[in-house]
Amino acid sequence: MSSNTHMVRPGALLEAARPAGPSAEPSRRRSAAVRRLRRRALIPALIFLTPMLALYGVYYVYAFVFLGQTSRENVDLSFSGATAAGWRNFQLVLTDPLFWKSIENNLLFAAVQIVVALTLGFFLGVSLSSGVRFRRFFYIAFLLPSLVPLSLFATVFGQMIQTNGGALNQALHDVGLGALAQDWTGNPAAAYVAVFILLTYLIGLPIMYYTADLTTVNTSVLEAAQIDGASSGQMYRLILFPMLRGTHKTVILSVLLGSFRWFELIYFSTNGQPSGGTSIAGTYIYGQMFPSTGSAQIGYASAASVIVLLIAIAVSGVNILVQRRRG
Amino acid sequence: MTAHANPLLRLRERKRDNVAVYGVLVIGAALWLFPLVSTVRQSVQFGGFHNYLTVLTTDYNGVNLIRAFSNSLLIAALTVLLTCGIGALAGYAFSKIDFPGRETLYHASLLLLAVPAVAIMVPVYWITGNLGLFNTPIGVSLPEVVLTLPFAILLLRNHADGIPDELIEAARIDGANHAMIFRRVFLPLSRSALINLAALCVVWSVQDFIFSSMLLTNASSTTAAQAVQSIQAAFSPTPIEHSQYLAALMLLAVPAIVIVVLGLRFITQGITAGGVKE
Amino acid sequence: MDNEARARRWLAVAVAAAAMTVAVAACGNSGGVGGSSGAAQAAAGSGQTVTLNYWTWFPAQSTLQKSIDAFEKANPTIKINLREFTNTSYQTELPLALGGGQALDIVGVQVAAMTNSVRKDLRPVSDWAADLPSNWQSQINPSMLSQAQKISQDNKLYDIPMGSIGSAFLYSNQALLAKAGITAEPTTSGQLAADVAKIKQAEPGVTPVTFSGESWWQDEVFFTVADQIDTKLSDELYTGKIAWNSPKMVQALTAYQKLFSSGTLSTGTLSLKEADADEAFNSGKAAFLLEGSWDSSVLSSAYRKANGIAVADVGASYFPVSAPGGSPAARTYAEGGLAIPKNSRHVAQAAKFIQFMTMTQQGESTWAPDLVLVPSLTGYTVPTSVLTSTAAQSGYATIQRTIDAGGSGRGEYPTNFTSDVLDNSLLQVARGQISPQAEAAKLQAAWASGRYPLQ
Repeated sequence: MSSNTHMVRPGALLEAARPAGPSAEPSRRRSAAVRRLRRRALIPALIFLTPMLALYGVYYVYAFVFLGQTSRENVDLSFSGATAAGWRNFQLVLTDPLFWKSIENNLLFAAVQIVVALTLGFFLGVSLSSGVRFRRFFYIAFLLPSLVPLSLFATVFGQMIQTNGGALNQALHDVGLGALAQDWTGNPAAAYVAVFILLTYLIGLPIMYYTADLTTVNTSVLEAAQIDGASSGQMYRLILFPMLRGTHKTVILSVLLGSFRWFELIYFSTNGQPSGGTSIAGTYIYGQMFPSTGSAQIGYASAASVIVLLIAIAVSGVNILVQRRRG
Repeated sequence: MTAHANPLLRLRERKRDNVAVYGVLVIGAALWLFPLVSTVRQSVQFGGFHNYLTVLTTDYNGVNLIRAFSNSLLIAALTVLLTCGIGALAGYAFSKIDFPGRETLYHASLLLLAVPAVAIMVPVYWITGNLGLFNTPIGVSLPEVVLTLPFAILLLRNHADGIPDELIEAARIDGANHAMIFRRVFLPLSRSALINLAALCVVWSVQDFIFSSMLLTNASSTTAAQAVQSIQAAFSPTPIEHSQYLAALMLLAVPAIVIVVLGLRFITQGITAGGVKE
Repeated sequence: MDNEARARRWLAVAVAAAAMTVAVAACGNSGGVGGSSGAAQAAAGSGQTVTLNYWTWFPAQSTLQKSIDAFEKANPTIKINLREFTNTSYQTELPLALGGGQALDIVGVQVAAMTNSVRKDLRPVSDWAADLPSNWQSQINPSMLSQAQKISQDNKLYDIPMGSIGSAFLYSNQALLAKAGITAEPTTSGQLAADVAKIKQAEPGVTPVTFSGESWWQDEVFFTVADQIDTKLSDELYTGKIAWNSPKMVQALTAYQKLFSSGTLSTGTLSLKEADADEAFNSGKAAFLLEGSWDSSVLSSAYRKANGIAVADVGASYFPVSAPGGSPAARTYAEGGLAIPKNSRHVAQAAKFIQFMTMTQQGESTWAPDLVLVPSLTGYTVPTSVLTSTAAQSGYATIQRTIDAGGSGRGEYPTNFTSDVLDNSLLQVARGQISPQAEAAKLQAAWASGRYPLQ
């Protein structure tokens, strides 16, 4: 689940911002009758919403309250024998450089995927839509890494980037680029490059957005442009790219929203190596819950969870505001 | 199709451009398939294709791959049912019933779009334990549903907004209540949206590692995503068993690949159709 | 109207389902997390077969299966269902499963690393001592037993250790050494460096020294180097008797860094997992393997044959002494604890199995010849017949001698300091990204910050 808002299409929020339903008409003076009508609608609405409210109540509201509690305790996985810790766990998390590094990496990786999506993803999306042969084959090839279990793809990728005997270094040697072979999880810069490559593999969804939206925009203007002597490069840059502005925003927001759900991506590939250099929020919390020496520090992990939750909710909030303005 | 039915064809009308586009696609596809190909190659390096048969018919750590597939599918099916059911009810209410606090509640739901599974791992473990749902498919399915619901509600409300209110009004004037409208007007009109959502739910549910690895500790209830890790210890560090481990990894990808190839249309529509105005 | 009635009914079902979810959520008490009290015992019907669920991470399945087969043969009414995990995932899976009420009957406990994270879900040995022979305590090596007990915060014994282990040691592929013209095991880092150079020259396709790059392994290698300077250095650091930025510590870090900067150990190896490193050695792709004594199985030709390891002859030695004036060292501790969870409903049968594994000649003879542990059963010696070459014999003798010398406690002081600070920053030292002095200062600052209490 942790990867699923890769796929959220925030462009859809546009609709949310549109005043919907008959009662939201611009009329300023709402009559008492309408208000009464709305109140009467409360009962059927509640009935329809009960299943959702029940699940939200247990898994979000209660969960958040529970986190608020454990984050101010020292407790292990048995949840017994807890002692009060006050705000100390928060203080410890906020003063841990590795925590901030993880948040920073989260944002950096999101930014990288956005850049790759807006360039390579855009180009591939357009190319796939230009009536090429074997379109379905190409399409599936590009989407596959995004749609198989991420734990699996990241594991395979982790095997590839092993320094000695990994397929990546092997392939570089085979094509005569042996000098580019790297200690992928050892050298901090190389580790970033490795994660960037992994993120590039996962731009299937932006490609989906572009190909889908290209069917809805009117591209016939290309014809006129070509008659005017525009090169294909100019057509990409000056016509198609601005034309798909809405899609770019969708891509940016969906990557940003999804990035806080990343976990398997790093956990199964670099596992945060070297020395926490590629750690992200998800792997940081997980590492605190399941440390390799010492026992689980549920209180500390909860405090980190609360902070990450607040950031994730804030990002969603910004997203809603941005969409509203557009609406 | 005539040559110019698709204006994008102009992008590669010149031979040079055409070669460039195909070049990028072919090289790109080769690079994107490289992990797959190199893993398959290593998986048969020692022991040959027989490894696949061995892996399929052996229990690793008590985990049988076929069993793992069926566990994944069962959980996915539950997730689909619950997400589509609950999401449709909520989507209808948010779009077609005008009640006080509607927008506030809807936006509150949207705020949960980016909640990471890892961040609610601690309470989910506690809640599942107290509900007595460890090692049950529903125990894993419920938190998966909860994480998908904000998106499902977004998608289905947008879809419902596309259904003209006049249709609902007309039905109301005919004396139908919301329950009837939901069932007889909304659901039939939402079939395609629900199918798309279902396809996405399957993909996401099959991808879930965190909840299944935390809540399913029985070997017999292990899912495919979880098996990636849990079968690892059963392979000795010998060349042939290493190849077999990679063969197992490849097999674990097969159901996902089948789902993607068969359901590609729905997956694409589910992700992209949400925001397109009618 | 008929339609409306149907629609109503449909909706009612949906609402009822939702209400049920809420109700279950509100008052469900069929489960619970952690802190369980002892489960009631299953009635022992005569002649009925009891199945025991046994989870562990060690020894390897191929070894344990022999023990289980022998035990089941001797006890036809008991079946054992074994599940084995990797070292690190076990540390996650076992606490989760025990806390989740999984019905397990026998669990392996990593004595140093895990006792405190699972003890609340385990039965103290005193609870099931009645099912053991009355003189059981005299049968187990007293120092191993006391290690297993004192590691627990409440100073209770929760498991019976199968034996003890030590780290780090150097295993060697004799054929590859011979090809490179190396005639003796290296005893100093200078010799090892020379050997590495010879191997690189004679066999360019071979990795000279392979080892796990997993973070937990780095402190094991480092403390081996450190304890060569002073056998109790690691103990003294963790007990606060000596500062992490003391001169001895800087000396140790310098020696450790030099192993990498001189090319004796390659940083390229640091991307390997333990299993990958073992595989490289087992398939003849590496000349030396830097591992813990739990990997001594490779010294046994019978084990190699049974597990398809195509290396003709294996030798071993202590880790070459790196600092000038140092002496061989290894950190050791009791390991392979066998315990009975509170959830078990078959305590008597589980105790019988633990007794078989740790207190009977027959039981020992099923796993001890694989050399994974120095057995805890007093008076038991491994039959030397499993060691068929002089290299293996003298290698095993060296390992045993080094363990017996009693170095610092391996993992005796569990704290997140080790995983959060030390392991990660040691990797930086190995890669030359930080100087020994800066590293020592950083460690001391983190240690003194109070963030990482001993557990």
